[in-house]
Amino acid sequence: MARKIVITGGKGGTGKTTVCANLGIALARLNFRVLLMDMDIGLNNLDVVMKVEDKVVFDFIDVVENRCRAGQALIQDEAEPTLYVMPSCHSAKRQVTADAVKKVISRLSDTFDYILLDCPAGIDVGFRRAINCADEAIVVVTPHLSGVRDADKTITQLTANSVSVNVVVNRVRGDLVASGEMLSAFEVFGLLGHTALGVIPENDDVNCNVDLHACRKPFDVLARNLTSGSYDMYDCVSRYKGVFGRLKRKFKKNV
Amino acid sequence: MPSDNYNRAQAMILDDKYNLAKTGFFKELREVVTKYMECDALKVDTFSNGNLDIVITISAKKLYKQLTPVE
Ligand SMILES: Nc1ncnc2c1ncn2[C@@H]1O[C@H](COP(=O)(O)OP(=O)(O)OP(=O)(O)O)[C@@H](O)[C@H]1O
Ligand SMILES: [Mg+2]
Repeated sequence: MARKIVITGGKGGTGKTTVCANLGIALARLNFRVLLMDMDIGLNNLDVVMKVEDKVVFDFIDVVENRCRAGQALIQDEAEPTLYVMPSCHSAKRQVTADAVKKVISRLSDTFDYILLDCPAGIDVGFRRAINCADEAIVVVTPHLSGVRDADKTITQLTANSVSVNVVVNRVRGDLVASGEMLSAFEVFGLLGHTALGVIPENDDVNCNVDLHACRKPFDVLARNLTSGSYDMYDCVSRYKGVFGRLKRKFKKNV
Repeated sequence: MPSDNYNRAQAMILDDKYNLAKTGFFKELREVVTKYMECDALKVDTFSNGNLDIVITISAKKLYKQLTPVE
């Protein structure tokens, strides 16, 4: 039986899709069978981030509306043979219910070890549909006040729906944390409570999405924490502390 | 020492959660307070410190003399 985990965060653009894709790759590298499912109907981007947008023949709406079998909508990753993507689409003719999606997921549940659901931003219909299909959630939050506030509201909804919550702080700028201008990941964990799962730094490779395999380390740590229950946090701050650190900070800020 | 950002974030989260100013608590509190004093401002802040600390700040202009005990 697969672990069904919704990747959510409330606010738009916190890095839900990015974390979903990279965590999927890291899990597949640990030899788990992983399915990434795009639950965003309308602003679906998981296919683009996973670089499979030109391979989409069927999507999960086709499966829900019985135009194809679930297996036909799965796209295998080129580099990781145990990793699959189920894309979404721009629109659905009829309302897609959580129950219909749950049925699709339960059909695939024995084929995979992890099913990661990439949730749309916000806390309305799309969000509720996605969280209804999951037992666990990864809340992706950026260390900004508005991000933390929205994540807290999201967590309230998740706990009300008995979905267990893990928190990942994304886009942490080590230099700004060291200078005290940005909330640290640990402050964010303290504010939101629940299980601290990982820290992902702000990273140019992630941002440009040229090579998803370029920024491996933080996601590998995240995948290990998720699979083994360990509690290692990627450190992107200490290199900006001390005399040399202060110099690096100055340089980084001025470019 | 918690950072300014941390304090602001915490205040915001607690305000979203409890927002006593929008509940009956605040209204009743105001009624009680104005029985005893004339005040400029009444403020309820929540802080989380393991326990929840609720700090009520009253800026009183004039305190009425209460000679007879109120029942
Ligand atoms: N750690 C990071 N470092 C640098 N850039 C990042 C990082 N995480 C995400 N980004 C960038 O931020 C942008 C938004 O990320 P992403 O699409 O994953 O967010 P999202 O939460 O899925 O957005 P939406 O709410 O629209 O679904 C992307 O351009 C992505 O490359
Ligand atoms: Mg997204």
